[in-house]
Amino acid sequence: MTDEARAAIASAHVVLYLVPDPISVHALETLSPSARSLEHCYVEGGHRREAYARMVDEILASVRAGHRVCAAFYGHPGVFVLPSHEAIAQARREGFEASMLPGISAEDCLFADLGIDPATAGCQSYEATRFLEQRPRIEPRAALVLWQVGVVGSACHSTAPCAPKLRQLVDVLRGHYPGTHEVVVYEASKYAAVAPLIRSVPLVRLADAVTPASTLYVPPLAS
Amino acid sequence: MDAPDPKIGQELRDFFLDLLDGKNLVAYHEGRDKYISGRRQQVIGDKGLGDEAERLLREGTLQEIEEQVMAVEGSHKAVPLFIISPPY
Repeated sequence: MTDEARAAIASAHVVLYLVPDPISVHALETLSPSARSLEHCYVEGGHRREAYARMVDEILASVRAGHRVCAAFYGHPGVFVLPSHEAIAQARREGFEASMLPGISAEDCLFADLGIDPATAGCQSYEATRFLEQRPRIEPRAALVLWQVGVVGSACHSTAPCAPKLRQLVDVLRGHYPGTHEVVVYEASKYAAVAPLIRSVPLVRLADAVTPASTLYVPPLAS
Repeated sequence: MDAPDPKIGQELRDFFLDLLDGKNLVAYHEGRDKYISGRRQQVIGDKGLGDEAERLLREGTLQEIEEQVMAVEGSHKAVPLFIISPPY
């Protein structure tokens, strides 16, 4: 958490949050004892878009009530977080001041933990389900990052692992990379002092290594 | 793996919460082993580390540690699989 984010949380009248670990919950509730989770917006088996809409509604309700509101999301609040962008846009449409403070995204952690500089070969970054459905043209000589690969093909919220189209994703990638190409299944650590999850596997073995919270890093092919 | 133990989870949770204090984090970075050993010796008090918590901190995986921490009562407000981006 940056110093500026910490100050924004501490000075807000209403703090709403969505974080994946109890350490972060404690940190937020220490800064703002009345902070409350947006967890209830999710419904097991429900479409995630509906959950995001409920989050936006809850954030905006507090704004309209005249409170100074801070919504805290894990990672970078603007990277792979739909409700933050929609809440800010809606607030501005209604004439309220709204801004976003940057955080540290999973991709930032990935660059640090894997020792990768995206300047070296370039880097393509896609949401896994979108990648699978839209099949953007990719450049195999640049790195490829696929987000949310652990839930590829699933639009519903579930606390259980669910990636129904992982095999199809591997097939698509094999159109660009050999099956023996070593890819990295990555999960940033939520805890100071704990190593991230880093699993190198041949592309054809991807399904054996993916966890629900995985990001996939595909190294560039040698040119 | 054995079922997660809330007591171990609590010890780990306290360890990580203490690391939120800047002074503790500096001490940790100055000497990881020394810091963990110091916490181990506080086991008589409320916030020490037991054998398994210490082992996990030294050689446990992210997944193993997370399972223990999430077993602590009151951890329900954090769920590992919060996805906040659509499939488009």
